[in-house]
Amino acid sequence: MADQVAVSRLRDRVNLYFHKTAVRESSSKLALRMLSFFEDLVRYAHYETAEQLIAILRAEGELLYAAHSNEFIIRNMLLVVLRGVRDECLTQTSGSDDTLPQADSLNHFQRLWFLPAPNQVQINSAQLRSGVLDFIKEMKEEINVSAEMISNQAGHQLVKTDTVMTYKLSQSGTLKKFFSLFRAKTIYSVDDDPSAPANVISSVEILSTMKLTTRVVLSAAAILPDGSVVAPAGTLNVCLAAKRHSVPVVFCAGYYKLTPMFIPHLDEFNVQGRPTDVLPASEALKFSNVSVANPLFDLIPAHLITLVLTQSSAKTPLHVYRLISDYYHLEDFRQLDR
Amino acid sequence: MTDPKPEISALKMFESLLDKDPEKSMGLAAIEALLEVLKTSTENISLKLNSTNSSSLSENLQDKVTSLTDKTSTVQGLTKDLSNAVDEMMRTDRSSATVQSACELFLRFSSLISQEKLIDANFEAVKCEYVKRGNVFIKRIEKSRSIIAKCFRPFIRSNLKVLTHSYSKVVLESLLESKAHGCVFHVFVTESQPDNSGRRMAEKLRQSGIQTTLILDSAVGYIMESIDIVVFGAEGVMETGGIINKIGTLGIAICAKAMNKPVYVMAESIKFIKEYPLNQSDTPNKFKYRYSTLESKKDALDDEHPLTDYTPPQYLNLLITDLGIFTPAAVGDELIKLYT
Repeated sequence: MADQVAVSRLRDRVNLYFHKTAVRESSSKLALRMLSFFEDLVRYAHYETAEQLIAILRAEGELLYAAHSNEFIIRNMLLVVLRGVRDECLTQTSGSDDTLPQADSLNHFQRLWFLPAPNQVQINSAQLRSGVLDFIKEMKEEINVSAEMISNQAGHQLVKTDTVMTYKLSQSGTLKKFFSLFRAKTIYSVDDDPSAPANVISSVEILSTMKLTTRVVLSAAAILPDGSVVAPAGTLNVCLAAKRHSVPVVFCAGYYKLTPMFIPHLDEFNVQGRPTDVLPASEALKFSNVSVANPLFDLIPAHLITLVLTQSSAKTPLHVYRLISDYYHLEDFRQLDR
Repeated sequence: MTDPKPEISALKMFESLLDKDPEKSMGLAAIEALLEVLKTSTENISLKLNSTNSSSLSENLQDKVTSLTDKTSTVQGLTKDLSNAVDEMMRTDRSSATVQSACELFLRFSSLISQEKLIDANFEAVKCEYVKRGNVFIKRIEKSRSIIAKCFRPFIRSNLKVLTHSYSKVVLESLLESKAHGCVFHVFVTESQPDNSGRRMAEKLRQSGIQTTLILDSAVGYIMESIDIVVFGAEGVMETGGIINKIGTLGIAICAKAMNKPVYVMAESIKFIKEYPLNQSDTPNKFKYRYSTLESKKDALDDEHPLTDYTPPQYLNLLITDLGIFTPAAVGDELIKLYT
């Protein structure tokens, strides 16, 4: 029972975390907090087999995700940790460091059609625990360096004389790091606040400025397996203008933003911001018959994107699905409940 | 003394399975017929065992018995029997693309037993293993359509206008499932000449209370502006990520692309074919024409109307299969995993 108390205390603490933050923190901080939550679960919960651990993690993770279903990162981190557990289990049962067992084409076939039977093998739970904790530590480290590793690829994608357009530079940690490590000649930031280290233009000037632009670099909120991207609202204008002027569009995102879910209609998932950001409260009475919408995200379809930069690779949108199977395990994401 | 069982004709079995249950998936019927062929070879073996135990055997009976054993006492013999059965079933007038892919995948799956079991000298055991795996495979494939229907549900929401082409059992099941979960939407079905199969689809949809409109094949361009999504079934999914489907599919897909409407394809995983066509003339004739046409008009095919066309992957948005939802590019990867 002690572990039940511990688990519920962890649950309370993480829910408090969501309520305390008035302004949403950056995605990387959220991802780190999620990994810490799962790390604590692995450390303090009680389990004998890997299957039990997976059940505990999944129950807590899905509960948290149901409470905050606009935060894809919660589920992404859950899937990362589950993948770590399965990998750890595999290395322990096969007794070697090989990740692929010998009769792998047989297993492949099995896996394709049959979700393998849950691993009831009694493995050393202490070893499993330490293995998974090590894995989570590695993943946290990857998040910490993700902005830097993305920026390291800047040299391959841009030259110093490029004119780059971006969107809301000061609101994205990844982009800020990107441009601080790579000083392009001219940077235009759309709809940003005047203190940004770039030429700030408003959204009405996008098309006219696009004629002078050679590259568009943007930050994604989530990357979907068909190559489309969820980005801050207003990004769609920039991408459409770029398509019209044949300017390559590059999206940057850490691996924690890879979401193994297809979103046919963004309306179901879109977060609404404060209506007073659009229409000040003082004017509200004058426009009492007007419904104010303030969606925070845009869905950018794959055909508008040239390249997706993650910390480990640069992929065209057509091949983003391969990254998904790099970080997540087939069993966990194949049939997700929405 | 019991007579040896008559040779099970795979084609007859296949046709009778489909006649008994017209809603059955064609691929599923093909693999069930193959399993029957597999099983009856097993029975002939046990017949042989019984016969040799009897002491009074005349010369020609012994010959008959040896001829039976020669037929199916080796894995190679069994494989030969099964591939003969597949060739026989390909002579059907129904969709041969589906039959070919389903059979090939079934054979691969059944014969993929671990090395230790293969070395086992007892052929009887090996056969049983084949049959066991065959049954497991069939059980899994029976669920394909409901898995696809479940995957498809997030794509349908209320007040959507859906366009579909001809009669596809997978699409029908998915739409019915969405309706059963409370979605209210309007389906437009093309009549789909020459066999008017769209009419059957519209009937079935109307029976379940879905608002349906039957439209002419030529009216697709007209109606496309008011459509929200386009859904197709498939007779075969190619390695390119493109599909083989009833003639007219390509036109609808191009129209949808021109007007920015998403195109979704629903196909069971047994329809994945290891072919890589680059254009319409590249597609093998056995997929385009029915077997009877190919036989009777071998040299005058130019005058024949093809019954299917190939839709290249650039006109498709997503493929919804029982292995998951894929972009056309990802399908090629999955196919390779299936066929290696």
